[in-house]
This record gives sequence, C-alpha cells and structure tokens, in this order.
Amino acid sequence: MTIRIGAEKISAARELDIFLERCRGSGAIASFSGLVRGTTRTGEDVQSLIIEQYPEMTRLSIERIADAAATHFDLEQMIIRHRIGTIRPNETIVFVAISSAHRAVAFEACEYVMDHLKSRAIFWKKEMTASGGVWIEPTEDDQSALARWGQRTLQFEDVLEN
Amino acid sequence: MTQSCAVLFFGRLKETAGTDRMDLIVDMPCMIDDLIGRIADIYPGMADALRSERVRILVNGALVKRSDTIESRGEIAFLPPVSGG
Repeated sequence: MTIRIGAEKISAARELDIFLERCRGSGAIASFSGLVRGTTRTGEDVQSLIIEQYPEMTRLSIERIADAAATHFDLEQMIIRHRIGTIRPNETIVFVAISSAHRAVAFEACEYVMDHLKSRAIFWKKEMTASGGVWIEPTEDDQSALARWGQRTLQFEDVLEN
Repeated sequence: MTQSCAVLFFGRLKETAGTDRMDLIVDMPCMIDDLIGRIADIYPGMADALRSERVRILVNGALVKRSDTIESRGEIAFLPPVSGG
C-alpha cells in the first residue's frame, strides 16, 4: 500500500505506468483520477482549488481508509495520491489505483476508497473564483455514496483512531 | 496549575480567526467549552463557529466533546466539515 500526500503535481498516466509495473500478475487494475473542474456548480469559472491538511491527522485518516479497504476487499496492491496546496483547473487532485484478481473487486474497492476520501479524509477544500472563495463541503450525493457501504462505512471516530 | 496549549484552526475557522494557531495559558483541568470562551474573548465572533455541532474537536489527536476536560498541556484542534478528493 502506498500513500502520498503532497503539493507536487500528479501525472495519472505516470502513476498508472508505475503501478502496472508493481502489479505484474494481477488480473485487474482499476484507477480513478479526480480533477479540478473548470466551472463551479453555479457556472462561474474556477481559478483554482486550495486544499489544506492537518498533516498527521490527514495521513492517519487516509491510512485508516486504506486499511479498511484492504480488510473489506480482496486487494493485491493499492496506491493513493492526494494533492494539497493550490491546484488549477484540469490538474489532478487525487489518484487511486487498486489491483485485484478480478475486476469487480478492483472497481468496488476503488469506489469505496474514493467515497471515503470525499467525506472522511481530513482535508479542507476552497474553490476560488473571480468573486472570491467558497469552502466546499460534502454534498448530499457524497453522503449517500458513503452511506451505501452500510456497516463498512467508516465514521470519523474510525478514521481518527490512533 | 497553569499550562500552555496550542490551539489550531483549519479551513473556514482559520479564516474567521485570521490565524491558524494561537497559544493559550490555561488553568488545568479545563473544560473544552471554557477554553472556547477564552478563545472567543480574544477572537470575538469565534464562539458560535467553534460551538457549531458540525465542528469536531481533537485534543492531541483524539476526538473530544465540548463537555470534556483537558487535564494537561497539549494541542487542541478545531476541524470544520472536511472534504477531500
């Protein structure tokens, strides 16, 4: 399992190439790249997205999410990369790749990790436009996506437990 | 006994306070809610924001409630709703 949190740009193509090398012998690899959108929900042009972290707790929260994914799904390898700092439209915020023997597990585990990164990982996200900045919070869709995992859904107590 | 505590603000709370960190000398033991009162004395307008049900509070990395008590020096962090990915 690899977790990297940092300000440097993420090249999803390069990450996937490296991951493919690590996963020789796996039958299935699913990956997800999250990018900064060019417009807000209200149609304004996005200038940038600013992501803040609480370093020790941010890392712990992602480790707990990755641990839970490894517990609930029959994974082989996993990488999670997440950017912090100022990110421009079309740049990658997050990259997740998971390998498994079969595709269903790889897809499902990738969704499980992403649903938790959206609403449980310790980040704060501010969308900057010409009219100022707006702090982004998980939407109802994000909450529903998380809740569908039922008993496998992690609570804050779970991701912050040392 | 008085001890020093580091208070950390993140996200919108950092903006409201105008700082990401403050150091407070506190009489221990100290209830979290009393600590919030001390912070609000220094940063008027923070009281409601810090007492919001949506704000989570960590003391040395452990989740606590406003009614809990800090026994000794440490790091108190106020976390508004999180969003990653």
